Amino acid sequence: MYLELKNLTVDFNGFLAVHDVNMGIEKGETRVIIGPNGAGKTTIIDMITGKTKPTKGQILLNGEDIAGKDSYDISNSYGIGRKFQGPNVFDEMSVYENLEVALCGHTSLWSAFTYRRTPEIYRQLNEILEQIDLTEQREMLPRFLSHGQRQWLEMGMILAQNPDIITLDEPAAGMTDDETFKTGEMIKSIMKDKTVIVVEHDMDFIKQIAKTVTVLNQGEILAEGTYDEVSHNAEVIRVYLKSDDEEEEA
Amino acid sequence: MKNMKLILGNLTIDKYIALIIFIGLLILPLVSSRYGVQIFGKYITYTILALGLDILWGSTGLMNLGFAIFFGLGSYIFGISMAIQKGLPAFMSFGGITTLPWFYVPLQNPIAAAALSVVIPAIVALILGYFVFKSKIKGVFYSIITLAFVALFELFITNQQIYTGGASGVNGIPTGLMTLRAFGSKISIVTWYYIAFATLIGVYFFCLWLNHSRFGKIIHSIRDNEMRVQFFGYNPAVFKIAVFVISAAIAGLAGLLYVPMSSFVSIENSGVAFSTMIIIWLAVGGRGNLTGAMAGALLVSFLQNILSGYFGGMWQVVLGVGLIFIVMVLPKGLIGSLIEWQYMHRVHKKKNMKHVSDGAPAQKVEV
Repeated sequence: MYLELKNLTVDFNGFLAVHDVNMGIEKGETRVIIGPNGAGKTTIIDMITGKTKPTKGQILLNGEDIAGKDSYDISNSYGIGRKFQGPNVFDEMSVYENLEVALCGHTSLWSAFTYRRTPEIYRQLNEILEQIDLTEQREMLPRFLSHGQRQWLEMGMILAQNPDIITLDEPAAGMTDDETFKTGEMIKSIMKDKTVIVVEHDMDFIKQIAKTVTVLNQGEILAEGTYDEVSHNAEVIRVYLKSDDEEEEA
Repeated sequence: MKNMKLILGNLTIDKYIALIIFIGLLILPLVSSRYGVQIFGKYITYTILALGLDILWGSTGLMNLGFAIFFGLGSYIFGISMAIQKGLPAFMSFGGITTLPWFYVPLQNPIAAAALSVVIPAIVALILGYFVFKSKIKGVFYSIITLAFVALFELFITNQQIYTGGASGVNGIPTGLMTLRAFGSKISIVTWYYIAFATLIGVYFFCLWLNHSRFGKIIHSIRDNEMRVQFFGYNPAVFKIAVFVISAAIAGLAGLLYVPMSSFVSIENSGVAFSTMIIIWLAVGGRGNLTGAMAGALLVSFLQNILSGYFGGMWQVVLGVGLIFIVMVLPKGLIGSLIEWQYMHRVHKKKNMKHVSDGAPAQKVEV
């Protein structure tokens, strides 16, 4: 098993946000985690990327426990990248500079002073700009971009960071249907060599990208399986899918 | 690429103001009295000090309430070096010291003292920064700790009277450092003024380069979104310590240059009150664009001089009212507001020239 969560528990002053979660993710897999609000989806991402320390349990990457390490260390030494919920980009820097800051292999203090834009870096960043469809907007400040474009910019930053495992927290949140579809295709094409963990709500989007879906409820795993299995699971429909529909109708 | 020009702008207004400041300071000794040269020489060292804090506060978002420590260290080290050039200074012999304490022996060499007054503040910043930033102390807690540091420093200097001159400071420093000679002749106060001026230019361009380097991009990112930076693999503590050390070295350099202008070093320019003053300079001028720091330091110091003439001890009340007014009406400071105004003006001009779609392609792009 490539990435393995073992008996993962986090206790926020008596509230068990995540309780005894076991999950195994294979290399190159795209895994989607779904569940109602407060199910602990983002908390799991937080623990994998080092933002939150688990109260109990292990996060094994190739057998090495990375739980509780600093997030910069997890990003640098273990190659795990993260896209936040809602676009989280640097608004005072151009699109190009945003990608540049994210660029992998230049995170030490020394390289902050010795960094030069080499032809190789230009080529790499131009390729990413193509992939996220922001070539024309490269010199713009992100605050002039649309919401969807800002989301893509952050995806591009993750590509520049070039991690082995990519965690995406609601990458399609707030997007139009077209944008959501385009995002799904982006994830499928440009992240096909990566291990991807996605937290999402949008069922069409999940259908588009996922092979395996894990359903969380109140900090515990409710079901796990293919999209079809999960979406026909009576228990999942009861706690998650149905209430979702009701909300939409209301 | 019209939008490129629109967004990034050509030269922003702060660069022109910086140029005006530099030209003004350059020609000042030609038209001013020796007293004016001495006063504005002091102000030049203040602007260097303000640039140091701007790197720390403006560029990295680390408001330091005790920044005068580093200025004080620089000026004390060089000031004591000057005071011991002709034997033991009065405050030491009155204290009962008969021979120069061992730790002051290296200061007998003015060149070594000058180097130390930059290096020692940097080392102190390295040690303080290591403990503060490694333990992830952030925001207002960081600021309060820096205030505690400067209060301790003040207490230390005041209590070690036989070594530091205590509350009355280090006196007996010859004005313009008459004991120092370059090429066989005494260095005049005007020469010192131009040495400080050249240093100001150097520090300004160094800070400008720093802000535009990759290091600058990273510290701006830390200021705007520290968490995001960490998930890209940067250790913010390392960058914060680095910028803390750089700003402390700049402050030490300013402290060193201050000595020949004032011929007197005391806690008045190293303690809590002076630290607050530096904060006020940046609040008035604006942060993060360098010019604001310089303009704030010059303007407030100059007004201090004028107002204390008119109002005596009441000048601080006048200053306080002015400060409240600026913070409320122009929260970005004078220069920061000018830049904002220029930016909006340019956007409007572009809009009127029907380049709307270039300026806001957000609406243009439909997938």
